[in-house]
Amino acid sequence: MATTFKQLGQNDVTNTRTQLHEAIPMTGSLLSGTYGSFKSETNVKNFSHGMFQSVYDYPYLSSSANHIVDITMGYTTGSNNTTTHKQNGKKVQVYNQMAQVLMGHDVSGNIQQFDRDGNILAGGTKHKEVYFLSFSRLLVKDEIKKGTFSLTMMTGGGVGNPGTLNNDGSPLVLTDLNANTDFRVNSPAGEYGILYSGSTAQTSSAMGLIYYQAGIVVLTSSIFGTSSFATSSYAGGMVPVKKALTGTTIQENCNFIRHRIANISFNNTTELNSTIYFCRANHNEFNYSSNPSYLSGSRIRVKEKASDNPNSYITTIGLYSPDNELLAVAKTSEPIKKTPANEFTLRVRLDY
Amino acid sequence: MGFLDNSGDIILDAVLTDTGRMRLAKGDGSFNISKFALGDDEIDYSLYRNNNHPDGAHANGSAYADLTILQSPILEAITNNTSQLHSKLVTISQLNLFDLPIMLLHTKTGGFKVNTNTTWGASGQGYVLISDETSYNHIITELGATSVLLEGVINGSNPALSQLSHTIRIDQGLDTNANSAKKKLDANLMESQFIVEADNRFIKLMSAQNNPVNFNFVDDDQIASYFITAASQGGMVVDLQPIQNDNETNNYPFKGSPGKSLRFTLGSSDNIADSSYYFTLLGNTGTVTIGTKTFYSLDTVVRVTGATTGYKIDIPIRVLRSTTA
Repeated sequence: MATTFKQLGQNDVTNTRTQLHEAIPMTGSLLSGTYGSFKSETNVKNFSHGMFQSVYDYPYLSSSANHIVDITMGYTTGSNNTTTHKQNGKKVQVYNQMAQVLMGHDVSGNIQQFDRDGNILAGGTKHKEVYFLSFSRLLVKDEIKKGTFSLTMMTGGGVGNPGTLNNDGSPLVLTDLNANTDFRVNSPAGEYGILYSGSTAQTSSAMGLIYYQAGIVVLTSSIFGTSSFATSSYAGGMVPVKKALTGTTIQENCNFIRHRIANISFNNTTELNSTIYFCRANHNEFNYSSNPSYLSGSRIRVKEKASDNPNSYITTIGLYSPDNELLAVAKTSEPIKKTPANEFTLRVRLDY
Repeated sequence: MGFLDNSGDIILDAVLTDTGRMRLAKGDGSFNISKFALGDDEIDYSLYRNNNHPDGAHANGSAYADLTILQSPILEAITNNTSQLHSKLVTISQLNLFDLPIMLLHTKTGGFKVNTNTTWGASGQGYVLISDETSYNHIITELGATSVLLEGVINGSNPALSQLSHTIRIDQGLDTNANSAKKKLDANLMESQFIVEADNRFIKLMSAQNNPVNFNFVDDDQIASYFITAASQGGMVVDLQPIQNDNETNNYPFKGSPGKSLRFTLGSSDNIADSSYYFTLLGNTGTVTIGTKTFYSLDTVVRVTGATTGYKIDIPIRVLRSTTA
C-alpha cells in the first residue's frame, strides 16, 4: 500500500532541556552620552511620575529601540528620611516595593531590608540607601548566569567625560565573585548573589546584591563614599552623595548613577525545552513523489526503464497531528536525494 | 521568506505553523504530533537530465542528471499551515514501477461536464457555483433552461435543482498506453481515502446525492477538510471498472488502468447565500454580465488529495451572485 505519512513511534520522540547563554556587553556610553548630551539623551525615557528612568539602546521614540535597563533608587524608613526630602514618599515606596519583592517579609509581616551578606537571620549590616538597576527581559531572558556579572563605575571625587574613567583614577569594579558556587536562596524572588568590589569575597567589600532570575541589581549608595555628583550638568556644580539622595529627585539620582556607569557585562541564560522528532526515512520509504512534475503523463521522469531505481528529493519535513493538520514544518537548506540505496534520520527539534 | 544558506552543512529550519501555535495555545491536548511526511515542493523534476529530457541526457553522464535539481534554492519555512507540503514523497514498496496513477477531472460524459463559458464562467476548467436561488433563476431566465452554457453551473441553494451537470467527478488511474485500461489499477496504488479541502466561508461539500457532508475540521484559515472514504455517505467513492472493449475510449479521462473515482457536488454557504459581503471583500473587480443581469464573482479552489498516493488536484470554482434581488 502506498502511503505519504509515517507514524512516529515511542523511540522517535524525545525531550531535552538545555541552557543557552549569550554574552551581554553594555558600554557606559550607551547609558550616557551617545544619543544627545547628558540628561537630554534621546534614548533615556523619563516619566511624569518620576519613579524610575528607562534606558533604551536607541532613541526610544524609534520603533527600532530596545528597552535595556530601568534605573531607580530609594531608601528605607529606617534611613534618615524626612518628609522635607525631595520625593521622600516615592523613594521610600520604591525601596519598600523592591524589598518586599526581592527580600520578602519577616515573621511579623514587616518588609525585610536588603542584607549586606544575605545572612538575614544573623542581622548584620543592611543596605538602607540603594540604587536599583532592573534589566529588561530582552537581555536577561530566563536569568543572569551566576558568576558572570561585572559592573564598572566611576565613583571617585570628580566626574569625567561621559563613559570615560580618566578623572576617576581607578574605577570600582563590582562582580558576583564565585557566585556559580556561592549564592543565596532565601529570597522570594529566586537566587541572588553578593556583589564584591575586590578579588576576594569578604563582607567588607560587599557592595550590592544581584537577583539572577529577577534580573535586578541592588547597589548600596556607600560605593560613592564621600564623592560628589554633578547637578544641573556634569560640568556644573557638585553635591555630595547624601545630599543628592535626599535633596534631588529620583530622576536626578538616576542621571547621576547612569552617568557614572562605565561598563556592564553579564551572560544571560535561556532554558530551552526541546522536543526532538527523529524522522526516519528507511531505504524502502519516500522514494517516489506526488510532485506533479515527477510524472510526464503517468511516466516517472527520473526513470528510463522500469528497473531503474526511483528517487526523490527531500526539501521539507512536515509534522502532523492524527487528523492530518500540519503543526510544524522544517526545511532542509538544500535538496537531499532519497533513493532505495540510502536512509536518513532527519532530526527536527522544536524549542519551547 | 528568504532562501536558506546552502553554502555549508545541511541545516534544518523548523517552525511551528499557525495552526500548531493555535493548538498549543488552546492547551487542550490537540497539539499532538503523531506522524510526519516529507515534501519536495521546490523541486522541478522536469530538470532531471536523463534520456527522457527534451535536451537528452546530461553530456557529462548520469551522475550529473540531477545537478540542477540539487542546486535548487530552498525557501525558509512558512508558518501558514496550508502553504507547504503540497507535494509529498510517497512510500511504495515496489521499486520497479514505471508509472504512477494520477487524478484527473472527468469531463467526458454527461452529468460531470465543466462549464465552458469563457466570458463569465470557469473557462472549461472548472465549475460555476451560484450562491442563491434568486441568482440561479436570473441565469435561467437569461439563458433559457436548456442552454448548453448551464453545463457545470451548480445551483448552490439546492444542487439537485441544477438544470444540467452539477456533479464533480475525479477519476484516478494510469495515463499511459503501457497499462491496459482493461486491467484494474494495482491495489497498492488504489486510493482508499480522498481529502477534499474547500473554503468554508463560501462552500459546503455535498454528496453526489446532494446531501450535506460534515467536515472533519476547519483550520485557522477557514479551510474545511473533508475525509472521504468508500464508507462515506452517498457512494462518493466509486470503484472504476476496467473497460471491456477498445472502443470505450470515453469512459475515463486517462488511457490506462482505472482506479477509484470521487464524486461530489457543492452547495453555497449561508454567508454567500444571504449576503454579497464576501463578494465585495474578496471577489473579482467589477461585475460579470449575463444577458441583462449583472453578477458579482468570486474565484476559489476546491483541492482534492489522494491520501494514498498524495496526488493532488485543484478544481477552480467561480462563485456568482446577482447584484440585484
